[in-house]
Amino acid sequence: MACKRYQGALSDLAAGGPAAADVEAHLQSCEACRAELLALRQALAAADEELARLLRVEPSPELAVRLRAVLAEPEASRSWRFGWLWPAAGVGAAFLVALALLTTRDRSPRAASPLTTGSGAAVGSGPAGAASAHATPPGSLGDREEPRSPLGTAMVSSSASPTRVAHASEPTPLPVSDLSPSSVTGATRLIKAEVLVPPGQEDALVRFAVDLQRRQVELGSLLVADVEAPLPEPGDIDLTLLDTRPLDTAPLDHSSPSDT
Amino acid sequence: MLLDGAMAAGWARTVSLHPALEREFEQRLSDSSTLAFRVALSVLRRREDAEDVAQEAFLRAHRSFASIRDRERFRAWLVRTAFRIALDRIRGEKRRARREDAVAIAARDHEDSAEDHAARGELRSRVAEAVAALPEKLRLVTVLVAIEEQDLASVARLLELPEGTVKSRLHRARKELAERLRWLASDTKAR
Repeated sequence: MACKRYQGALSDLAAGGPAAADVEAHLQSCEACRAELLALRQALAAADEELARLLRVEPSPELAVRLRAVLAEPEASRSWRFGWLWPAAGVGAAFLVALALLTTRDRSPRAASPLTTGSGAAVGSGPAGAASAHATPPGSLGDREEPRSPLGTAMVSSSASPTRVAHASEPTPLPVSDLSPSSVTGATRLIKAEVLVPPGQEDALVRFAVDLQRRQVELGSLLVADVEAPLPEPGDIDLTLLDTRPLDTAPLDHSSPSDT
Repeated sequence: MLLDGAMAAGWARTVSLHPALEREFEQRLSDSSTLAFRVALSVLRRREDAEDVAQEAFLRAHRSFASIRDRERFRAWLVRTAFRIALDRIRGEKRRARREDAVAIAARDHEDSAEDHAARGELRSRVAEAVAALPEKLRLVTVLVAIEEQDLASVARLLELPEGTVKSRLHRARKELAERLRWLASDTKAR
């Protein structure tokens, strides 16, 4: 067993660090520490060998073929290959749509002034905006002719195109008369939005909407869901373009104060 | 409004590259796909997952190629992106058992006896765990040094860092690894 007080120094030495004079002197007289140092060096060498062995694996030849094939496709159809990304993006987009509905429900007529929208929709509700998470029965938003999701606003439409759009509505503000006033209390506004979902995965959006409506989605970490509290008046709401592309990665931070 | 064929075609046009750039990208693809794959493999330890990540990294690179077409810059960008995607993926998954099984598949030495194989599997797992426990910066340096076969200048270019910084990080990484592998040292001494 190596001397406890020198264990850190032995690790440092094994990793290739310089030997301090006192450590060197100790090693001259301590056989246990010399053995420990040797064993640590051997352990690191074994680790290097194992890591090298793992990383000598070559990708399959199909990888390059697959990559070229995917790159040859138009982006619009290529995107659907990443099925694992799209459910997350779809659910996120659905959440934004749902949030748009929740945060604009039960607002006073004054608050129903036209909103600024881009194409697609995302909603910001003021820095301290609380949201009231009222559940609304399916179809309760009125008599619109479009088919409805259980949220009453999001429609999943299918087409022959490889891209299918969960079609909530147009990005421009709707006149209040476009809503059904009979089943909605207060001046409810419907924000039209588009949600892109991959073919065959429209269900993810619908399921999310249903869960949201049934309050099976925990919103606490995302918004203040006090259903009794009156909504504060939001400030200017800036609806930005809903980016449906996968998130890009942030570059690693190369700088470290401890680096030398 | 539905995204119809015409709109989809317009979308596609916005990301297609000039033929000269496409040729350059093809060159990058040829000389860097193994690098992206191995960086991902070091994190995910499953060939299939690593290939998916490499593919995703190249697709992102294709979208941004105009700004990263320089070879060194491209490879540096690719390493960071593949590493980040792989980390994001592994954090989102709970497949530890499957991954551990896959380590043996990824690098199995068929000549090993059953006993050697078991011992090697244990070593492999412990080494992989020790590397995975390193802070990200140290982990990436460790992996790249292994991929680039100890060529620190090459690693420095990949990370767009001074070589001294790479050396410093590598030393810190190896010191931490030595601490974590002390069990292996005890085992070696006992034999």
